[in-house]
Amino acid sequence: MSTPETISSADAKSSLTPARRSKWGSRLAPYLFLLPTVAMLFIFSIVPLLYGMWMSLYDFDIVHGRSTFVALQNYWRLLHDPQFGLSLLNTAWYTLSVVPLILVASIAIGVYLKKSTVARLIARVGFYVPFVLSPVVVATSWKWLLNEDLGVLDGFLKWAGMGTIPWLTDDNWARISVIGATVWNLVGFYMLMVLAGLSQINPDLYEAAKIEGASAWRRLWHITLPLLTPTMLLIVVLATIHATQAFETILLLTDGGPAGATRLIIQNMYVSAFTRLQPGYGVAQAILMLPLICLVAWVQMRVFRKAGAL
Amino acid sequence: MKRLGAAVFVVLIVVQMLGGASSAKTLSVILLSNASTQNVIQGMLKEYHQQHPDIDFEISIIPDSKLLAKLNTLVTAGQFPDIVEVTTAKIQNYAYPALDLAKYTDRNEFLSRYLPGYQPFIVSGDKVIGVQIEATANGLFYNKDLFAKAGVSVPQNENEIWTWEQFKETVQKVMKLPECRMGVAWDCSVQRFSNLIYQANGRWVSANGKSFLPDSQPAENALNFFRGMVAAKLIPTSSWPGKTDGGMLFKTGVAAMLWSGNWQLRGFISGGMPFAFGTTYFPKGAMRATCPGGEFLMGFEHSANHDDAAQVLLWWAQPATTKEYLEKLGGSLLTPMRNQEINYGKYTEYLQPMLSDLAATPTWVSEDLARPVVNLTQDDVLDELILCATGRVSAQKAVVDLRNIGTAELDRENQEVSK
Repeated sequence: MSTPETISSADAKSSLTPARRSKWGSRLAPYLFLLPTVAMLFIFSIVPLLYGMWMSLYDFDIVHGRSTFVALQNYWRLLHDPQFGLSLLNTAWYTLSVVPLILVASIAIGVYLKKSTVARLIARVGFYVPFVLSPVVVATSWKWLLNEDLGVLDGFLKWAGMGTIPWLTDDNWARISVIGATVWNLVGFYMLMVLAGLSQINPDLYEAAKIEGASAWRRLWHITLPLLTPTMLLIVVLATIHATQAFETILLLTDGGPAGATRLIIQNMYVSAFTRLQPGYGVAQAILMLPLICLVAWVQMRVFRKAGAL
Repeated sequence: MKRLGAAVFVVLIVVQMLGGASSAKTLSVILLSNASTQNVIQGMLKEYHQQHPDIDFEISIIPDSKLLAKLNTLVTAGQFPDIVEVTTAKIQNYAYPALDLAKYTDRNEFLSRYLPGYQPFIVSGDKVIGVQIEATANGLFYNKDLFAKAGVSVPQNENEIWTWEQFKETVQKVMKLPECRMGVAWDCSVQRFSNLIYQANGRWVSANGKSFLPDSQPAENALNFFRGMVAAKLIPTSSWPGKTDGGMLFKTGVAAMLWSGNWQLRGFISGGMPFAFGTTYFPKGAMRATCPGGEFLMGFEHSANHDDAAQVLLWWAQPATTKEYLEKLGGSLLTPMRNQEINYGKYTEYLQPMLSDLAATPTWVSEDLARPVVNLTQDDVLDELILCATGRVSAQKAVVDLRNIGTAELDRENQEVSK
């Protein structure tokens, strides 16, 4: 009589194991799927971040092959470094100018070029081409266009009997030029995003509004813009990332000049780490930027959540 | 059958590994992207490989602007390249990890091959840190057509050399021509401005290396002269502070002169210029001076193949190799070596005033230019020079600010050394 018992317990075991296994499997599966991403994030983001934090506590002297633990001295030095303060300010005005301009310009161009006529398709390509150009080409073209002695723009102003404009050699004009070049370079990319967003809007809404007698402006204000809000959020986030990472075009166009007027934080880090050979000090600037960028991202999220885009 | 297949596979792998181990050693080389020199250097390295089949080279070419980032990343990660090409401004930054060639050859005999004006770049304490493959000197170019139209001549020999004031007056005369839209296209760099400091008999760092801008007066004189040139629009704003390459501006044919260096010659002559141009002597302040420089090959003490790299560098340091390299370049660059006859060919007449300026330049100028602090502070120094040149700070204030910038770096350096 013991045999059936044995058999039944063996059956019970064999019937429970696959169930448990599948339970564990279903619990583990999401983690296993996440593992590659988490591992990549850990290796390429978390580890460098921690390594950067460690580096920022040292003063590396490549010239003499030494490194000294200086605790928070690099951060303390940053608070008293006028060049760092200026580059932070420069990054702020650059971002606050470039992001709204890109947003407005890409929406305006996108709305205008929404209809697929041949001329508008050509215009779309025209706006998109600058985005695929290399930053070297963009910067060199603008540098010659804005050259105060031989540039086309100043040549035209002279011909028109007006004075020349120091596009790249006066602090404020250089800032305006850098913003102009950036917006020209990037607007085509964001225009495509707007066009994609516009294609999602039901044309019946416009038709109904037209029948109700809504003007083009009211249709834009009450239909297009509200329904484009998720796209606008994406544009603001991506353009902010673009702006805070701006480096090559500005480096080649003004080299951060004149006298540091267009030197953004990224270039300041580069100069500290690679020209002055103080990598610890350069990394400290990056670490200090981290909470600032988080703050900007948080503010953006709050604003868009209130607007109902999230 | 499967086992046999696996065995054959393993044997093949082992043979491949052994074969790989016994084949040529590969030295990693980083060269600067330069249309004039990169192919010739690669050709020379191929020649070395033919003479030494056991040594091969893996060459990466990167632009000068990206060299510091690349090299610093490799150095801090301890992944030293075997050989790297660097310029005057950078070689002394890597003196500490540099391969000491004095360990492989007689130091004094090695150094005696080079002209005294170039030795400071390759010496750091007792170490010999590199091999100079070519020499450069700053030089003054002029547009012959514009000068002829203005009825103005340039100094033809050392007795006719302009003073700073005569130089300024001459440029003003040429600029009266309607077709002359720019006076002196002057590269916006600390090195090019340094010419004036040296001509004023000043220096960036004191002889003992302890203080920055030790003499105020020569520096103030140089700054005042320079800002006078900028204020009078004799130096185009697209050069200072616009940072447009002087050579590009000169090529347009509407600039009277170019304050640059002999490295421009090859591009000007082989590329063809739409006007006749020549070179002349630098004007003199308190004395005559130019800025010597050049390009170097160096190795690293901790690179994987440093002994083999040393042999390559010593091969290049032989006068015959240096001569061959320079003549393959066509003669536009100077020899850094003593008593070496180089056929400069079509460049001879252009190089003559530069060689004269070079001969008149005291050796301490090279020692000064070779100081790491001059390179490490160059961005801040250039910003201050721009502020002064554009009239936003006085020469006196600029000297004080520049001294603060340099002193901070020297203090840091001294602190590090004492630690």
